[in-house]
Amino acid sequence: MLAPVVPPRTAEILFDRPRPALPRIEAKTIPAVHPPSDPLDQLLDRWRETPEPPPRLSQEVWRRIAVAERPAERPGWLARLETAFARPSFAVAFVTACVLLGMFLAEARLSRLHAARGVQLAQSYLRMIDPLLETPAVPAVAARHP
Amino acid sequence: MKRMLLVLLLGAATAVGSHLAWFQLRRPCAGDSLDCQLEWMKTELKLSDEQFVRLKAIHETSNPRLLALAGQVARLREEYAAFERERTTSGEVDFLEFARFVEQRRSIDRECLASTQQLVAAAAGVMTPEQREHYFGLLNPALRAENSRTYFN
Repeated sequence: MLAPVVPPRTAEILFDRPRPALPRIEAKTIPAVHPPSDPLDQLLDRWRETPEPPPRLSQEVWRRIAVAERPAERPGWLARLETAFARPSFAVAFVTACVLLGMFLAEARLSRLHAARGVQLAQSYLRMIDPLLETPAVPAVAARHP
Repeated sequence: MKRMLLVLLLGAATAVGSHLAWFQLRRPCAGDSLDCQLEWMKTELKLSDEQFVRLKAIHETSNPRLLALAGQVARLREEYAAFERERTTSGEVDFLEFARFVEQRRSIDRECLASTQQLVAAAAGVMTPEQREHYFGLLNPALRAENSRTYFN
């Protein structure tokens, strides 16, 4: 297995740690590898000072970890409504409720209509069975049939 | 969002549809025809089909006679109005003619009363005691309304 080909000096500076020990390989078996010179190496050679980490770095890192691990916030009412309507069972229940509401309102309307119509029909029925109704003498008819 | 709107629209459409369908299905009979009145009585009094058929036959038998009597009553009212007009304009009254009118009116009144009593008695005879009580109860508010209109309007 071959080790990754990384310019040794660049790797040491970037990760600030000792280079892992490469397995010893006989020079006879593998030809010498000369990595191409990287212009960055020269720049990094000149940069020897390691900058100080910003203050409270550790706390900031832990804070970000905590934020990332925090459970997702509760969605708003619209999102919850959308989620509910996306469920087929809820959609069917909603439509059924709408049908029942429509019938209930029709029944309430019919009830009022029947009450008004009942008085109207009673009057017209009475006029039909009693031609004298508009004269004062006739209302006695109903009184004679209690 | 699209799906929610679709379900909302579907709900609104079915609500309106069921409302209109139910209303049309149970809507009371429009108009003042005898059929409408009998349908109303059937619903209000919870008449059986047999009772309804008998009640309908009774009303249909007496209806032509009652209509003829109503026509005569209307004619007598017009005659009375003519007498009153003549009395107020010329100041003269033909008493013989008026006596004949009064006699005719009494006769018609008696006939109307007898026909109505006969019809109400026959209709009540078809009903059970509870239905009969309800029947007269239904006629009372209408009688009161008619009386107040006759006396005060």
